[in-house]
Amino acid sequence: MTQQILSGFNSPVHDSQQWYRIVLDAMSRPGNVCFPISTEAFSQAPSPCSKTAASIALTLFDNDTSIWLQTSDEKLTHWLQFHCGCPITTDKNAATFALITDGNSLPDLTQFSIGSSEFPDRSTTLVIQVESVTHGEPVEFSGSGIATTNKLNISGLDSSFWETQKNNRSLFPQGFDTILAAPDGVVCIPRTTTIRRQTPCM
Amino acid sequence: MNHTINTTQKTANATPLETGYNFAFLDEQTKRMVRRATLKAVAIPGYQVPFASREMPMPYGWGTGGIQLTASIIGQQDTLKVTDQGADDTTNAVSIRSFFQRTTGVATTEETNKATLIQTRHRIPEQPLTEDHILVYQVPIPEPLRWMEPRETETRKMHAHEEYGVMHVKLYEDIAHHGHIATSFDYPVQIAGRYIMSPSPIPKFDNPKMDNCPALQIFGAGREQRIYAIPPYTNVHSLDFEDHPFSVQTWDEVCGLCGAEDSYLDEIILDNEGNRMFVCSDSNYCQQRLKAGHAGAMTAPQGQPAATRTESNEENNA
Repeated sequence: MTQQILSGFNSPVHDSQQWYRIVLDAMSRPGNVCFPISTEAFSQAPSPCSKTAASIALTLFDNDTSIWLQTSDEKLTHWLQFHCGCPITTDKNAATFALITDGNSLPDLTQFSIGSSEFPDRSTTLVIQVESVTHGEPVEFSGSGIATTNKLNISGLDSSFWETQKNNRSLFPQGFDTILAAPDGVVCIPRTTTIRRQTPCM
Repeated sequence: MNHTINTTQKTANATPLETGYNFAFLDEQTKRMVRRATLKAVAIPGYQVPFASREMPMPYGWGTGGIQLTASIIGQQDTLKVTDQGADDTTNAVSIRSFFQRTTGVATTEETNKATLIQTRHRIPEQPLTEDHILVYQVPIPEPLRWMEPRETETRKMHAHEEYGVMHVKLYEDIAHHGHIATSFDYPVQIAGRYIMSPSPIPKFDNPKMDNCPALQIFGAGREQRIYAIPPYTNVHSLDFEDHPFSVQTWDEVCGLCGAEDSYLDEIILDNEGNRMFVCSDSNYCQQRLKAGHAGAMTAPQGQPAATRTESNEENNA
């Protein structure tokens, strides 16, 4: 039985460097929408991943990182295993990264690792696919990396996320970190970010 | 706010690229490992993230931590500046710059405002950094509590429990012995009200530049295998006491070459008679000021080296 696996980065070294800088910039300045000028890193992303989420996976995942996948899509699993060589785990607490392909239906985020008080870095990084980081619900970020406040609009992210992030913030220095991947850019929400939603909770 | 990375190629330098090595020397697996550690370091300001530091083609103590950080961050679109004690033309700076020229072919500069990535040993440039800079520090001993507590297992617990009394005792002992806090470099700081961090052996003169800095600051310790970071716009507090507030070094002299009153000065002994001069430690800052027409007591006139101007040496020491 043969199956076709979609290609990875056209230029693995330079594409992953560029995407890393996007993520580093976004993680340093939470709420800034970061995106490379050139998005032609590879021709087709494996469904249900957008090119953004797939690029982040190719940049950061490898055989040292256990990945928790929201979808059991076989093609995506094979694509990740082929290009990144990453072990796939079903244990949320053991995952280095969680690839959450549908931001509208989040798993229980509190089950992911928040690290220990002595090793807070050993926590899960969530990669959540959302529809947009330039349109949608207005939110306001403040915290490390932000001069005063940073306003942005996000759509395609379940509103329970904001409450979870509020609790996550209070765990500092422990906690998970989040990378929002949308077709129109990357926004990071490290554990230090305080969120203020501009619309009241329904 | 959209942040984009420009992909236009800059003119490459004349140094030929080494063949047989990956871009920026490190293999991709190592870069990913360093990159993941750096992201966690940025997410937990001031916390030292352990990483699997590699052997580099130079000895520990020559900036292997900083080089691994730079190698994992640098891209073709970057312009690199390397400084050692503020100077771009000293051995460590020249050899690290040449290392990256040979392994990446990126553009390099000595000018702070033209650089996107600055690797530094023991100084922060005098020119204020902007959001377009990333500052990479070379760190020998990343653990500020190490001098008081040699066991890693213990210092880790102290950080976990925010148990920092011993650091204040050390500063207090300084006051008891000397009447003031005598620590003048590697002066401990607290990041965003949580982790106490070693700023690497920069003079305490530079500590205020770290506070609320628009640039991302990343620290790499190769031998000790730690990466830590200060995100932009983050509070950096130099530890002190209400009755002994933190203060920086001041000089009675100004820079002998450019007359700068606001920069960190190095003392240089000129001869066996004990004559000396003070010059900016940040060589690029000094050059920029000279170009802008500033002059100090020992500035060389056009076409004449400074050392031959004995009369101005005497003026300076009078």
